[in-house]
Amino acid sequence: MNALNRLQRAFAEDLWGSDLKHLHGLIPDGRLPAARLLQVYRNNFRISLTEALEAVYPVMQRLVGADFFRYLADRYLRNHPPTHGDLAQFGDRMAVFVASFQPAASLPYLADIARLEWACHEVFHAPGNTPVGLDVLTRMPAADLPGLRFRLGPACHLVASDFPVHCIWQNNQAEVDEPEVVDLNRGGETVLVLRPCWTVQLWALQPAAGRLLTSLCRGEPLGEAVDQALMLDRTLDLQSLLSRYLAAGVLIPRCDSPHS
Amino acid sequence: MNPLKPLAPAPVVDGAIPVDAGIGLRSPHMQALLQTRPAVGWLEVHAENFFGNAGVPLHYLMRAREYYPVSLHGVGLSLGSTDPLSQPHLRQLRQLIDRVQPGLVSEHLSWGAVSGIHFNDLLPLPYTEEALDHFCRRVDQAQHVLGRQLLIENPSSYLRYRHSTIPEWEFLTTVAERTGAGILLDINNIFVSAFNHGFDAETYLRAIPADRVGEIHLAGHSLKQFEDGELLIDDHASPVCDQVWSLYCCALRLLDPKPTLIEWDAELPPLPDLVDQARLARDCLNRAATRRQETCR
Repeated sequence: MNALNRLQRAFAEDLWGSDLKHLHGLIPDGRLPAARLLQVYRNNFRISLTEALEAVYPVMQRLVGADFFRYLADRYLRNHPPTHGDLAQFGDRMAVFVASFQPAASLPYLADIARLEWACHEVFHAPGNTPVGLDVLTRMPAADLPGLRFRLGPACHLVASDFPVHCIWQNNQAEVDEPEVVDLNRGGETVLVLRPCWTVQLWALQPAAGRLLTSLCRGEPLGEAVDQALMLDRTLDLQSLLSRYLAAGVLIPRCDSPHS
Repeated sequence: MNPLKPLAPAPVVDGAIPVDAGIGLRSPHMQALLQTRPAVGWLEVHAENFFGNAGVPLHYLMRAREYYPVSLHGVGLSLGSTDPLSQPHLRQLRQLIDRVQPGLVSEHLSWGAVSGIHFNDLLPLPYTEEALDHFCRRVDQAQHVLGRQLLIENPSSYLRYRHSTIPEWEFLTTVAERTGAGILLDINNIFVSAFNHGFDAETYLRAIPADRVGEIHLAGHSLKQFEDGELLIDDHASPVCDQVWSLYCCALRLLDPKPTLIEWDAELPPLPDLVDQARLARDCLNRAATRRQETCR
């Protein structure tokens, strides 16, 4: 197996464009010179994986343009190539990568858009949410409610940003021909990505609702999370908010909570 | 058969792949397929797109499975690699097989990963005794874990290795004989490789044992001009060309009618166009079956 292993390692180096000439002599010229034949495989490799990233990050691509995205995808691929035969996890480090990608430094919101798009990708492939009735809460002794803790449903992600990421995302969907100008100074947004049934949805949360969910996600008990949310908005309609989240399977009472 | 006025097939109980024409189902066609339920004999999907035992793609696949037999076509197991066979990948595939109950499961005569990096491509193997022994061991391992027979598909290729000593048809046939695997014969790949490497496609077909072939693939390719020559590129982005249809009819004469799949992966047409290609394949299958009956009489 040594010769086969050597060949495959040399081929891999060629795919990365190292051109170390290890393969020269092993591949005869055909209809085209051997170097050109290898170029076909280099192109396939680069293009197919760039397309895989384009499929997960269409908003990013639209924001930076197709040419710049190809350049970015190429750099990403070199830093974080696929390590599995299925590509479901390929692209998982885009947000971290793009945050330190100097050529995109003029778009400070790009990393959060990447986080949002990866959240959509994960929710799409996640097991479904299980709705919970509000009676789970109403049946509990009132004194136990403040101590109740939750976790986020499997097909849910919470993305908090200092930028209006939901607005940017909406304005850069394929069907939007003329995106509005988004004021980056209008404040941050917290977005709930979820899949109530078989379509991924994005809910832009009011600041108080965003705070409530963020606190609950961190494992804080309901009482504390509610106090923090009410500090942002005294008029928050907690009952309708909670019943909505429970019905969509966003919040699941944790077993380590009392009486749940 | 008018593909725009679909017949509704009865819900499938048995998942066996019939000797009929099927289509490669890609996600942009999923909704149209479920809404129109076109008259195709079966469906094939890329197995890896449904790994994880959950999620939206699997939900729709299971709905489609109520109406059609399904074949799982692997593209990422990298059977020819010298890296250890990925046990998590095999477990995922096994889980999917248990869920979907596919009629056929297939993979490629190729490699796609080395030193833990996957290149998402079907890269050519050297056809040597060393590679043959290695590939057979890997097929044995995979079949053992999956608990069933695999079909192995001949790839299209753009280059050959100087140290290859075995013709591809002989390599593929030997793999099937030694491991008990079946053969998924891609007629378009034979055509593409025959042009690119200058061998005779019919010689290839005549070397394949008919009883080993479990499935046939058909697809489109394109001729790419370079300044110093031209090459056929297996891009699955167009209808099956006349020459590949002819080669397919020749294959049916030599190998008997087999379940036949139309693959189309890039620049996808509307679903009815794909169904139309399957109808052409079905016509060829029907003609081949009639001819066979006449010969037997």
